[in-house]
Amino acid sequence: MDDALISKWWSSIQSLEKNVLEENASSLCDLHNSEQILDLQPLPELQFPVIQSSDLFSRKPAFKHLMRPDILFLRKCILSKVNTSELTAWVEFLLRYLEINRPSIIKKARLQFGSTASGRMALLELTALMLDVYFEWGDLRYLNLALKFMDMPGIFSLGSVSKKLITQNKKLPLILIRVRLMVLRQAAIEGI
Amino acid sequence: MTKIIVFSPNRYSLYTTTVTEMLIQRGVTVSSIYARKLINPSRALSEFRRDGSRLLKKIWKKLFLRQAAYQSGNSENILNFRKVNNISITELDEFQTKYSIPVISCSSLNDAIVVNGLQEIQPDLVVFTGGGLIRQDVLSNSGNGVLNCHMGLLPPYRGMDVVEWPILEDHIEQVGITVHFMDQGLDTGDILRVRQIQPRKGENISGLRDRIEPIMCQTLVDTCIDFLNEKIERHPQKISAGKQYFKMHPFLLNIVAKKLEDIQNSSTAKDL
Repeated sequence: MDDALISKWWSSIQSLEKNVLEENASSLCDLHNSEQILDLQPLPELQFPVIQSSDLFSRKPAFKHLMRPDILFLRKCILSKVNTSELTAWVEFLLRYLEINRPSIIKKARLQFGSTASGRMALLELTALMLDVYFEWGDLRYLNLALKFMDMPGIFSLGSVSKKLITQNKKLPLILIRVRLMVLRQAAIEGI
Repeated sequence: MTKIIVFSPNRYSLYTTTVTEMLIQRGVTVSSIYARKLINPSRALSEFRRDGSRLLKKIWKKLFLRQAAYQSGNSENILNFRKVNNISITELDEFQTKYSIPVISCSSLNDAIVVNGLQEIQPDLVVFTGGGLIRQDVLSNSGNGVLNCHMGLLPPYRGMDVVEWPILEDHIEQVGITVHFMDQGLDTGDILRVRQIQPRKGENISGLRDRIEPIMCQTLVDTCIDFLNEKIERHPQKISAGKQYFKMHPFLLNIVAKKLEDIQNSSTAKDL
């Protein structure tokens, strides 16, 4: 069922204009071979967004020290196959923090990132980070956490993805990251 | 005379009663037993948020079914182990009546009543049979330390569901148990003894866990006595030598079940 749904969404994504795809490259680039695994037509080559230099690694790993752009920076590091002790420390910290605080994470994210919508988006981005770590490092603990987050309706819901993909309203970034998560989850499941 | 204190997750733990009675049979003086109160709404809520329906299953098995939970499972379970070892006590209160060992209730094993009791008795060792994380003021008043048997191989497999995780990660040879001292980290304290346990043909996860339980009782008691008799040494862990694992998602649990079947049906199973 998921495969059919993903194929349907993928067709809608392929019909998006190139500039829309590029604006949402962080959700649509580097899908870890998922297109092949799930038999989806590849998208045009997309580059991960350019990220201003971050001082994240000079900060002690703590949720209160994490900003939304930092999540993108961490993903960029993972996808660029950077492997430093600071990156490992941050990612390992986030795994532990998110696991332990999972029951109250929606509230914690709202407080940390300023609003319900921003908190939810940050949690989706963190889920994407966990899946990227799983695919790059092969550590199943990160897939485990991503699967749990994707079971939480307050973070992940599929709602009217198909409709919103067609109407392309301002929620498109939110929809596209959900699609990324669904694609990667399905590829991970089929790959184990 | 050496003095031992036992920590228990509740008054009805078969694991606690088995370990405690075995220690007494082996001549160890158990000075008192601290048991968490069964009803603690805030603890129950936080555990339910963490574990969901699995907590309800655990409560159902451990507190309601109790001995009946084992009757259709693996025959090498804690019930048969208790029969073989003449363990008759099923509730902690019986230690009070049979051996005059005080059984003290507490909301948490970190309560002041526990710290005060430790300071008064000054035990040589505390034997932990479950009941949550232990804080520094309890650890530092526990003589040589708080001894725990972890249902996983240390240092690689710290945390939860560490019977399942090595199977998922295709490290089936790393299923096992470890007797170690508790410290402020999670399963990072000094190791005393490690035992590898090989899953058997036809065994599912629940059966494997049931078989591990009596091995934990025996190993914890043996190690405790060996330590008191200075026959065993502490081996510090390298923090970087292991990872912390968490509750496993049901989807991954299903994969573990399938992997266990596949391994046992393959020709290489006997070589493990």
